[in-house]
Amino acid sequence: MDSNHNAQTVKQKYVYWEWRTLILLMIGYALFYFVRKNFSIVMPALESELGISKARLGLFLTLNGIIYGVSRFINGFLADRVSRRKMMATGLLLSAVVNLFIGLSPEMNGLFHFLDSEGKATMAMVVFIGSLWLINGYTQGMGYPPCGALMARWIKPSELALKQSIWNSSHSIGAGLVAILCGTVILKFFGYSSWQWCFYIPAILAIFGSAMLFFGLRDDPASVGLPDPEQLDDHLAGKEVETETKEFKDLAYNRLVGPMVFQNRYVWILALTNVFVYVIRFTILDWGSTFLTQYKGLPIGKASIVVALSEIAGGIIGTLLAGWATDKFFKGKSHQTCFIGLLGATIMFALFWIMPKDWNLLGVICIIMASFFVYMPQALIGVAASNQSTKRVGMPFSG
Amino acid sequence: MGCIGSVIIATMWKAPANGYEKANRILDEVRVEYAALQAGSKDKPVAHE
Repeated sequence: MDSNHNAQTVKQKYVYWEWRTLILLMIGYALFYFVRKNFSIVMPALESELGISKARLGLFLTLNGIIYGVSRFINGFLADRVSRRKMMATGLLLSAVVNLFIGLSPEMNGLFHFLDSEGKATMAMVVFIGSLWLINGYTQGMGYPPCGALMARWIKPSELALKQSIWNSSHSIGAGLVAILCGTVILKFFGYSSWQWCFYIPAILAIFGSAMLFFGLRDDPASVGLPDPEQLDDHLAGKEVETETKEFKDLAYNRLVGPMVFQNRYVWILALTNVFVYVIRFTILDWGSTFLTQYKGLPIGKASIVVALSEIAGGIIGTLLAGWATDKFFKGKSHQTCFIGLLGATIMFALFWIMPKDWNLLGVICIIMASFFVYMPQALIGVAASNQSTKRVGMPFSG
Repeated sequence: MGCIGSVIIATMWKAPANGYEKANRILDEVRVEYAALQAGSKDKPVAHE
């Protein structure tokens, strides 16, 4: 009777901590997007208010993307060895600080020669903002690896794919909400001159988010006196659950990482494909509002709503549908769903490109559909890599 | 870019998703090696003061 009661208590406590971790990771990762994708929404304002050219803004985004990839690679290795909770909270806090400094940059004109006589940015200010955005590329790379590592430690293996796809919607929620906050609320109602608030408000929210992650998360179930999720998984009942020592885990990692990751051609194919997936995805996110305002003639408020819709409607539906289709039609072969998604996104982009300038509604539909398709590989390419390399050594792939 | 990515990933269309089977074979070897290492360390004489 007592042992039954204890088992029930442990299960209840585990369910509470599992959902607490998942919800905190979703809010935390969405906030990472608040201090990352605000830049893309504010780009038309930076161009008109500060006179920073598209070429330079594009260069910031490109270099930011490269450093982000390097950071994810480095932090992918570190996430298995340091406190995931501290890594994620620190990354979000540093991103918030970077954003605050970008917002404050015109106020530093007294200290540095940041503005010319017409109030436009001098080269010093362009370099300052560009450098800060590169630093943000590194700090943003501290978000995904701890999330992946924490989910693998907290969620039962039989529920990992479903809950990971639920978590994945935090990308779309974060990118969609920041587009509405910055584009539809701040820039539309207060004008382009209020661009600094597009950095201040997301940064303040991110500081609160960082504190919430630091105090709310725990590195693993053992830190709150709970067993590993494998031991509570009903689907593994009857199977012997191995409890592994740290020495065994380290030895297994060292033996697996070579053949399963670095010498595995499928992992390299997926890693290379991921570059192209990100190019398309970031084209929508980073250049969507600029393109829609300047070439399609949409006001900033509407353009931001389109980007938000493409993220929230297209992204979330695409992600959930991709997971369902993989199990239903492709027998778990996620790389096949990734191919279909990437091909679909490419076709939608091509249609958007060749479409006459004044076909606004069809253009908007193409953008939303491109987002819908591109989220299929975005959500599943990690699962495909995990199928090829196993979750034990899957984190370095994220770089 | 999308076309290049699609062509690259299309090359693995027929690839099996069997990384776990391959990893399990390597892990079996690691278990043997780890057990041998553990047995070796237990055999070592313990220094007493």
